[in-house]
Amino acid sequence: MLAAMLGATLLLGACGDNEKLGHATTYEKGKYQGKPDTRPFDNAPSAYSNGSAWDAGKKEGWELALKRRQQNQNEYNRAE
Amino acid sequence: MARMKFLCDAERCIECNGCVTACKQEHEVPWGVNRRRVVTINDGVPGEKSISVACMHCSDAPCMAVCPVDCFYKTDEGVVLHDKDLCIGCGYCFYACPFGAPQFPQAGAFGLRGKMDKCTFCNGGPEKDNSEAEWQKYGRNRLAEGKLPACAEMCSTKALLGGDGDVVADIYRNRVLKRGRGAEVWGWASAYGKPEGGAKAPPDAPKS
Amino acid sequence: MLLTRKSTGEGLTRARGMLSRSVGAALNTGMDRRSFLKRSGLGAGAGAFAAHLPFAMIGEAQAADEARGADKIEVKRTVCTHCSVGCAIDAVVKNGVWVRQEPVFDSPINLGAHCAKGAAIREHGITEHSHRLKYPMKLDTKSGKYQRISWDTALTEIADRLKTIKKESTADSVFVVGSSKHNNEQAYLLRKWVSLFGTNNCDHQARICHSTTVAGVANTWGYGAMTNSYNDMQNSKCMLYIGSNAAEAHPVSMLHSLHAKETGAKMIVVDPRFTRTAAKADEYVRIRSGTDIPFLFGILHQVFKNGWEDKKYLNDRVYGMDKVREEVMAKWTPDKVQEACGVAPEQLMKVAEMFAKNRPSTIVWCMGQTQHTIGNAIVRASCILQLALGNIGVSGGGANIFRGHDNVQGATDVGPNPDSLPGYYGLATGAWKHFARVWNVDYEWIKAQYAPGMMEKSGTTVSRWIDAVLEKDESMDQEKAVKAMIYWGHAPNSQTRGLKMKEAMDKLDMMVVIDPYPSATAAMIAMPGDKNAPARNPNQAVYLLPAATQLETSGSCTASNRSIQWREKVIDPLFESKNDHWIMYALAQKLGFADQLVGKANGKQNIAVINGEPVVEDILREINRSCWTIGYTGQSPERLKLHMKNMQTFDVKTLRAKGGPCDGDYFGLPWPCYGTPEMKHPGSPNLYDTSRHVMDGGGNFRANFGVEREGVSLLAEDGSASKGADIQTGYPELDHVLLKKLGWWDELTDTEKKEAEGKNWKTDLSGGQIRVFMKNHGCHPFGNAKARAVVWNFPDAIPQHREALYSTRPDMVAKYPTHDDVKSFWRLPTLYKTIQQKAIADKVHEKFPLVLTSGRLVEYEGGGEETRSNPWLAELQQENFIEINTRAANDRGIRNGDMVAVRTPTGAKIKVKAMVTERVDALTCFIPFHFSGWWQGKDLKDYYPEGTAPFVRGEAVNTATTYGYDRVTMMQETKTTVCQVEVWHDEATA
Repeated sequence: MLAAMLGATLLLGACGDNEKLGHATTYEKGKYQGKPDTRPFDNAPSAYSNGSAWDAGKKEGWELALKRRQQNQNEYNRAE
Repeated sequence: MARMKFLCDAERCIECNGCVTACKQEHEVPWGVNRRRVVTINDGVPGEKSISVACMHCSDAPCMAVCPVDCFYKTDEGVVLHDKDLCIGCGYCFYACPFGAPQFPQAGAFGLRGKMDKCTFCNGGPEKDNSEAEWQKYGRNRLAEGKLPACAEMCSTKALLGGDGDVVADIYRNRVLKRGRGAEVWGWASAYGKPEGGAKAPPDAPKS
Repeated sequence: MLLTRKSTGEGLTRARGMLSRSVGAALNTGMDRRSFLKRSGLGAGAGAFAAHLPFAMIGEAQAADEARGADKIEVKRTVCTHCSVGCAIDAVVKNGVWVRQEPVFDSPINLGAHCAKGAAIREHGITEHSHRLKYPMKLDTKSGKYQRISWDTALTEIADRLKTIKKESTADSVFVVGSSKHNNEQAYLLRKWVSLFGTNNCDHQARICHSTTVAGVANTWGYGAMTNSYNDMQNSKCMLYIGSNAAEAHPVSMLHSLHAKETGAKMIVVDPRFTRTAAKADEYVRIRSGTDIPFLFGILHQVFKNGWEDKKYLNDRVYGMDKVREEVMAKWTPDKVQEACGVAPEQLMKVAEMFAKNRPSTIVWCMGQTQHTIGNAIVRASCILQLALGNIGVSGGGANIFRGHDNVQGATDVGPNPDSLPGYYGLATGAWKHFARVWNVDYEWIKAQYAPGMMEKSGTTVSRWIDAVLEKDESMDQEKAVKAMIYWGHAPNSQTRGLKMKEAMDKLDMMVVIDPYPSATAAMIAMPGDKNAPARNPNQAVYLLPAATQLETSGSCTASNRSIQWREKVIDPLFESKNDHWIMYALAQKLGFADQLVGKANGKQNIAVINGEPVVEDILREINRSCWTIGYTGQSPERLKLHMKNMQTFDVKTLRAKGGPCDGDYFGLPWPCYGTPEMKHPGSPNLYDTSRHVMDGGGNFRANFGVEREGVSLLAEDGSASKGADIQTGYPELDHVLLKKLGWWDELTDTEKKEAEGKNWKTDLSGGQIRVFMKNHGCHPFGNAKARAVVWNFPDAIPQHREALYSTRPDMVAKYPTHDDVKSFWRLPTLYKTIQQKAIADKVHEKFPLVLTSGRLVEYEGGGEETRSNPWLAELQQENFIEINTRAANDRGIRNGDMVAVRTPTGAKIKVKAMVTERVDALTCFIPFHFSGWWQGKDLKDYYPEGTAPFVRGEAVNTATTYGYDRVTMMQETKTTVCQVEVWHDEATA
């Protein structure tokens, strides 16, 4: 077992253990190497959401809220 | 959802810098870092036009392509963000970007480059949404709050549109129809090259 | 993916190359204002921030410290404090700290839009690195530095000085320069304060902004305010901007104008400069500075020649147009117009046709028309043109006067004017008695505060305060010269003749600055004077009192379109600052009239006081009870607050609420909103509109000038009246006699009758006369009369063109000379002819061959100390500059970016950066007026209190501007003076 683990570590050694990132990395040219990020709708609306409402994790509600809010950039909605 | 886009309607932009200070205010961007700025051509003569410029969140982002540490990523909505913890401040993205979007806080002699900073489409960065860390490094995350970029929401004449690309196109198309002209935005002719085979070139933008 | 592979399409590479080239080129041209000036702030601001983290943490950190348990997050709705458009802002406050600002899309006025200033307003809540005046200070004469003192010390010392001066020289030796940035309640209270102290020497920014407008326009048809609104311009077919750079001065108004343009309206801009507004125009006309009358009358000439005038309108509603026509046809032919203005006949005719044939058409004007010795006449020429075309009282038409500061309209309406009590009541005995009643103060007591014979005499003006200090006692129309100045929310660098101002400052016994920022006054008075000038008054005391901003109090403010908006208090006053009304009360306590200030007498108290601060709602209610003349009576605090909460129910083009809690009201109850709040008048969105019933916002021209003149009736013709009025002819203004004659007296209730007996509609505190006249019979309380094209009580009954006092055209001066000198005008001798003739004799036009004009930048507001202390704004405009034409620059060996010396006939020499541009023609130069903090090349940073000098400092153009004042209102002639420009050379001695 120990040998297997050692063997596994040796295999992985080629890829490198990145202490800063805290996880093993495989550097693939052109792929993002940074911290993971959440999607904007993953969290529920906050106290600053100004009326935009959606269910956490659900994309559709969030998209709809944004599109609705975006119509504020079109003054033709309130004056032809 | 279509990708997130900005469009600045040059017929309406009056160079008021509302977008510039809205961004400064929203993210408390320090002096010397210009995430957004207004560019004017033909200043002071008929034909003067202004356009607000920031990161264009390109589909095929040059910054992302050239970064030696690959600190850039693109969200599903098309927003180009980057990880400041990884950024080494080499400035290569600045070379690559046609719009000059990457900014480097200037301090000390020789213009020491710090971590690159740029417009985030008010979508923060790779930290927990609306956390202290995200605020410190990237500014506010309005998208995660269900809002749109501060610059577009506060534009004085609603020249700068920002949000879902389809909606931006709709709003702009409506204006162009009302005006009867204005579809010949900058770069129209050059973006699509010269017409061939006898087709007519689009008319010159009228001087006004 | 694409970029990592070699691109094969030539087009693609070329496209990218061209794009980057054009944008890169734009960034590198060095020709636009942005790239022209230093951008990275290695000089000005970097020092402040370079040492700090990329993101200077504020609100969150403080808020986190205070959070124990649940965070308290509130949204306070306020209004931007910069210009008169009145953009609403939702300020998000967390545990008392202002952390976010959100656009108010619901607002019918700005729909969420902001310019650079409004989008940056949250800076006012930031305490870290703040350049605010934080505590009371006194200038230490020995060290020349400001020292901190306590509030009590400051107030006591100031009050003692005031008392001494009042005793030795009468109260008229004190001049209180009030503020267009006070809210309505503070402005009103200040007028009361000054009256109770015993002088009419008070004024505010309107003097140097639109005083000529108010006088000229009011004397034409009744009220001197914007007749329509920014929103209403969406209904226009043609917009003529003459003397207005709305794109920089009122950016959000362009939302409405550009929308109008998009839907088919034409836009014409007339300006000596090709401004950013001109860049959006369909037709741009370059005009010689100060020649608006020839131009406007040139258009009018074309209108009459082609029969485009509205004959019925003129017959029914206008007096004297025939006389004007006679003069205009004879005098302002296209060749004469070209000679005066430099405008070619073809362009003149084109503009005339565009304007006349695309009605309703509107005229917009600002300082370009007002800031001249003939400002009062210029604005009237605009009015006359609009009357001829029948454009007044029509949606889409009107005289759209864009006011300046956020509450200059309100301050003009109810605030510290030298020639009137609140509400334009004037200073006659009747007016005083009316206000004494409302104020619950004994009339005789007030009278006793005044020096004998001074109570009913207009005070002097802020534009001439320096002469009021420097003049000999005998030359002044008051006991003694002014000895003490209170600069209460006003900048000094917006008044002309800076060199003389420094002399005046040095002569004062006392200067008190009450402002959120130390203001340029603090530095100007602390710096040493010119070595050739008289030495500083050794007995002088200078105080700085920190006032809170409008974000730190609640209260109402009046936008340019007369809509009144209520501001909620966002945060408590920062540092040791106090609200202006707290300061007024505190000083009143020391001076002995605190009770009178709040109307405490006979068991009653009009205005409650909480923690030393008069309650703003109570003050507004007092305004509601007193200002009947302009209909500031229906806008109760409750109605206004309801409007702010239901903004989305108001239509953007008509400003009217359809349904909802404010159903039928016009947004902000734009004055006049006649009668008591109970009468529920909806406000008047477009003045003088006869197509509407008076209870529907309609109106007609005012009967203020008499009933008849030279055999011609001044009242409206038969058939011309507001819709549904019971009287369909002209009629005089309402009083108890008229009401009885009409047989409507008995419609008053018994309570109303008791009060209304013997009164007119302006003094009837019950509001009953108005109620019966308007609600029951649809008639207008101020009568129904004709507008006057000929204003016989003005120096020039028909507007005459007269050259500026300092003109580069002696030939034109000979043809169109200025007025005669006046021995006593607003208490001071005032010169016209003497100055103009001397300038010709001295060959000023040869020594100073360039016309110097000044104006606004979008990033800054007014004197500029507040906005230049906001790093987000200051970064965008870091140096003062002069716009000079390529030819003029080359003739003087000046390159773009050179530091230059601008000299004027005053002897001043100011140092600014040259911006070589085609914006101005070869004979004109332009300098923005927002800068201060330099003095003829010297940086005054050290003279400010420690840590308060604004990030950006520069020369004040008004250090160098010249003498010249409007013949009716004493407005200063800032738009047309002269200068010479040369490369700056440092001198061996200062």
